Amino acid sequence: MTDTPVFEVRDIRKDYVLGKPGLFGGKLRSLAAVRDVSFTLRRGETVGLVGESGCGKSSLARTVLRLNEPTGGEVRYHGRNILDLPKAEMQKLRRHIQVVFQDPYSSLDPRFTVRRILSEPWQVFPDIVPPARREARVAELLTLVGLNPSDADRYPHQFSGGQRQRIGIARALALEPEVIVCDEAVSALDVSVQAQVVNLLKDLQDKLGLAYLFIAHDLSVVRHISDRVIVMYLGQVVEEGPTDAVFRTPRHPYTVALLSAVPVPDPKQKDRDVIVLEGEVPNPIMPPSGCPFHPRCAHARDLCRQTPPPVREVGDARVRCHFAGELEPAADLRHLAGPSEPGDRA
Amino acid sequence: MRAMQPYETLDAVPAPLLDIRDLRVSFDTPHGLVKAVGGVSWSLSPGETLGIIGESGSGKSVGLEAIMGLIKSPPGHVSGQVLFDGRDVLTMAERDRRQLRGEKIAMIFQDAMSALNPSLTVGTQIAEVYRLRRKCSQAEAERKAIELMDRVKIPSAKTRVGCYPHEFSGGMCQRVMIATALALNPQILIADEPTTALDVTVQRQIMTLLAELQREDGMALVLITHDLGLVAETVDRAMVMYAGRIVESGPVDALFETPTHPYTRGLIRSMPRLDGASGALHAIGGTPPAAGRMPRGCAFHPRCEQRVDRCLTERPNLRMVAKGQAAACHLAEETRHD
Repeated sequence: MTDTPVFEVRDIRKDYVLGKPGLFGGKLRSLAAVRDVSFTLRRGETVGLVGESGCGKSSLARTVLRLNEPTGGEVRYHGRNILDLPKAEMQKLRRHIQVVFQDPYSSLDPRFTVRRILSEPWQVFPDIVPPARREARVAELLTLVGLNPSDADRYPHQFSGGQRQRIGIARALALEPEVIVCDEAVSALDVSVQAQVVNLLKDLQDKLGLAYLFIAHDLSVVRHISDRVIVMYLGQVVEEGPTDAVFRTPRHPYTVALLSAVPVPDPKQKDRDVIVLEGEVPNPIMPPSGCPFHPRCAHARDLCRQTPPPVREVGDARVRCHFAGELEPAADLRHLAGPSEPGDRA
Repeated sequence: MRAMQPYETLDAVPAPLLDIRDLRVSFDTPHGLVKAVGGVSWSLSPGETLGIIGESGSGKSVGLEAIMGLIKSPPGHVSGQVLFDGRDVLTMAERDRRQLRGEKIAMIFQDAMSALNPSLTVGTQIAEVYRLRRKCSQAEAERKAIELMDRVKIPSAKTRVGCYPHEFSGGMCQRVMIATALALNPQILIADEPTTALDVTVQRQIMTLLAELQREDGMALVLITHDLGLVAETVDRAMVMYAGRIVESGPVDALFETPTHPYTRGLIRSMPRLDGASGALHAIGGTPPAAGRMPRGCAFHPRCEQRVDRCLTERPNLRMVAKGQAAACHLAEETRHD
């Protein structure tokens, strides 16, 4: 069980065509939101996906869920390519791949009680829980996510943000999925509550063997929860590997810049050298030639401007950079190395 | 009644630019009067950088809005004193208060994209306040807008002065808002979650910019945020707010080195770490109290692991526990160095 991947994404691609062809044809412009991304999820494993706005991480999530049809590539669930499945069969398979969204305020129907929110999925999939067991199952689900069985009769607005996110997780669990896509699932929560939900997700994974695709812009949370991590820039994976390897010795200049920019809650480190990236992410409609990161990269040379870099294996990580493994990071990265001294934390 | 003596002794050295005394804010609601800020006192020296840390509903933003005179009454009730250069902002005429806003104190918000008017060019918006207050010509205002856009490092300011907000990214919109705030050379800039909606590398650009502007102008900065990392890297002194009150304050090094209030400690321990040394996250149990349902005694006691009987009935006052550091906890002295 542990060796066959639950979920496998191969060279997935999503292009958006912009506008309509003119009367005389003319060239269609298109935007490559996701370019040849591959990853594997095993039972009980978490893959973290990081990158900034417009890097394609949300497009990727929607594409692997088939909420948007991909332009190319494969998405395999237990070895079977789900992109070929007819609609009806895809619908049946959806119960195994659930999603938890960012905003617990808008993803729950305010007119429904929690009981109705949690039992609604069973209208579509009646076989999962027999009608006689449903009442008890709602109570079990609520207990599982740390709420009270008596909460079943309350409405979403009667809960705090963190509690609502627990309800969102319970709803995802109602269908007993194997894979959960967490799309910025803890990003809207306050720090103290975010920690509770992160701990809950980890507990549930241990208990139920869930596989997570964990998408977030908060690098510390991703570091904490993921076994492997994928860094995206302009639709492409620029670095991928075991979380420890990527966070301790980032190899791609973009990963280095990203990790360098994170504010560290330790005043002793505030004077460290930080990379301040110039400019902004380029327009994906007209991506730069060669390596898409070259206009902002301190190490860029002629090769980078002309030729798209291949993926190179460096240690356990795979890095899309011509000079991966040969560059000295241009930043002071001691904040990635471990506590600056023992007893540092109260 | 002066509830918070320690603060005044603490800040006695340079004459404060802004001196907040026992500020209280409450609102009439269908469920009765709800307290949002319950008696906070603090002060800000010229050029200082102060952080206000708190989660949703802690009263961190409402307090600042009260200081700016932005709370409508009714339903809002504001009491206490907000002294700017010795004059009370709360009791002055609306005309004078407007003069103060922009001219002396300016504010920037989290969501720059929606704070800007989509139907006016960024140039018009940046220079609007300047044009009205300094009564200058359109051409002069445009020159000023370009100068300000250069200052906040918006590339090719001359050509982009006529752009509309939708043509700008989130980071650029935040720069536009900063430029707008700087137009009249304020002495205090209040930044309410200025980078929360931005990506981490853009956040870094904006914070670097703010630090530079502050160095050049000697402007004081009040940074309101929930991000402990930003606080640690940016401010000299910080206050932690919980349920409408200050529960701890002090120099930022001391706050992180020897956090004294259990809530401050909890916050620091519940943050996942970038160096991977977190283990299981030490979450604070429960949730902050809803406004209008404040627990008796210490507002934090239902979530506190070290509470004693006294915490259930008696509200702890903010008091000095070390040089410059104050905490509102009955057990502050006993639990400080664990």
